[in-house]
Amino acid sequence: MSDRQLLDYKLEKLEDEIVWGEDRKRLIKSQLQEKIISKNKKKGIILHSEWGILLKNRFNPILSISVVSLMFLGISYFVGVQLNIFNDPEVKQANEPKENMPESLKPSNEKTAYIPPKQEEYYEDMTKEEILTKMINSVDYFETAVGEFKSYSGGDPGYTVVEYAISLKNQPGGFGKRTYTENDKNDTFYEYYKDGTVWNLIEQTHTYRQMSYSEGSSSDTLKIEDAFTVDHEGINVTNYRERPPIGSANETLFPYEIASNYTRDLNSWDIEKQNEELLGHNTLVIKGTKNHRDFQSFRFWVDKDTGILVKYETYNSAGDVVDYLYPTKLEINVPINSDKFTPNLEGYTSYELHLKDQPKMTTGNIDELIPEELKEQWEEAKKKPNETTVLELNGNWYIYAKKGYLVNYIEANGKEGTLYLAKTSAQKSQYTFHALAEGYKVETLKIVHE
Amino acid sequence: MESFKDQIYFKWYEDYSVSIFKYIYAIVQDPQTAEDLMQETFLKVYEKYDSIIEKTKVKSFLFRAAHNTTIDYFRKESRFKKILNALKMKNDTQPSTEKIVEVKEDGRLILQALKGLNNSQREVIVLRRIQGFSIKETAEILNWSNGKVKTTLHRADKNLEKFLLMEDENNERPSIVRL
Repeated sequence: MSDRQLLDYKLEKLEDEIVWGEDRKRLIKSQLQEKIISKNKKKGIILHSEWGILLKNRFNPILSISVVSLMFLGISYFVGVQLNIFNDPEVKQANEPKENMPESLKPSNEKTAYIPPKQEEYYEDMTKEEILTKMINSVDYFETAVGEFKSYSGGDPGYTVVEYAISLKNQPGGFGKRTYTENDKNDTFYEYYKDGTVWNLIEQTHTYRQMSYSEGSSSDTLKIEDAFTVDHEGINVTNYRERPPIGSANETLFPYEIASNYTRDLNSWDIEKQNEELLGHNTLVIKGTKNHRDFQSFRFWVDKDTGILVKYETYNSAGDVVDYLYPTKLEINVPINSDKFTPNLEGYTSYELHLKDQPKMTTGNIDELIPEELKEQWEEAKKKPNETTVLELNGNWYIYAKKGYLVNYIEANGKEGTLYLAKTSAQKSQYTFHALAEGYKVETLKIVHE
Repeated sequence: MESFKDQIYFKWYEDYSVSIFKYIYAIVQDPQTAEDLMQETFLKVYEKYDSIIEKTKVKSFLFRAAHNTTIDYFRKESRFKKILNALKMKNDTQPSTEKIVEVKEDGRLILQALKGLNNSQREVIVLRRIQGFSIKETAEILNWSNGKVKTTLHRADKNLEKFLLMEDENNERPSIVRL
């Protein structure tokens, strides 16, 4: 190994060499919770749970401070795509067959579906204020939406395809499927909500999370001057309308943050075209400028009767498209069977349980972790510091590395495991090091002194 | 029952607090300060929840917040130190490292080596080599150009190599460690 490689190796291992305990993590978390409660109280935000801000009213009423405005746009996206929890190397091909989809996403019998009133397209000329007001209040202008779109963010190696179905009024609920594709590999994330419960499903790991939310009454139409204000320090403050607790389709159906970030300043954009048909919808085309590192202008296609952001593009100084959202389907006020809004969890395990099941290595003094049954053997091992002793009980491996070695890692190949022990530095060669390996699911452990 | 936002927020904490702590710790090398700055970072993230929108990666966002918090700390600390020096005061209240964090042997060596770098070099090494961010991601977190990341990384690598080679020679590194 060259010095360069050795340096890289040591640097990569630094993460493992620093041990910050779970107890510290919990302690800081509780302090963090207290501080957030205290901050929220100072801001006059009513808390009616152990801590935090609940979605008090139907989905969520307008909150007066932007810092507490719930940003559902991307929340689920972040959970699925950006939280880096799609780490399972197992991937599936795009355009999966229907058989692989959760049951509730398959076409279902529509016999019980409610038929919403037909949505009429709007062809009258609209002012900037009128279209912006619709964008920040789109939740008021449709009952159901079913659609699909592809979105791309400049610089990202992959793109995202989203399918969704949302019902806001009759039997409210929704589902979304978000597939991020990169180099022909897909990460797929599903989300559902119905009757006060939200589910997130990660296809790659076959894990899910289930959370609660509160519903309440809807708030009134938000005016531009109430939505976009500036505080005494000159910082923009934004208020948002309520929307469903899943985020897959937020950037198109409820484009509140996009409206805030791109069109809050009425002088930075213009109406380019009053009427342009897109997927059977009459849209108004907005063209504006935006001072961003990667792009300098944008164009929005906004559905005139609902305020839905049907399509968008951003452009760099050369006029090339940098980011986009291209819809392939958008149906408003069509019947949806609410059965689609609950997932089939068969074959899925809870994310928390999944985490508990992951392999874990505890190093340092593990004397207190040695079970009663092994205590005698462990003490015997200590008497033979020049031998590596490995004890197993209930799938846990208790490792006493011989003097001058420490546990490097365990490689599992099916039920066969290999324990790699690395030499310590010269300064530590007179010490012995111990480790507890949990969750590796191996039946044998071959020892290799590197 | 926590709100949906809070559940997401604390999921971030569960997923990233350890990495964020280690990142800050590798930069400031004081465990108590690292914990304080990590907590401050997460508080800022809570307050700036709505700016995590434009398809920014959450992990990158958190690290950028951690970077900014750490930079602020260094600025303040610098001023604080000047005041202390002016008053000829001595700050002896260092908390015990052992209680908060445990650093294994090789780790101590690397941390020692990192101390020999300036703040910029240390940050770029930690983000790129230890946290595994790409050049582009590192540039975004630090708000630098890709070129600056590459140049600083190159210098940092050279300095680290020098330090570690000297250290290894002094320690007569066992050949086995070379693999």
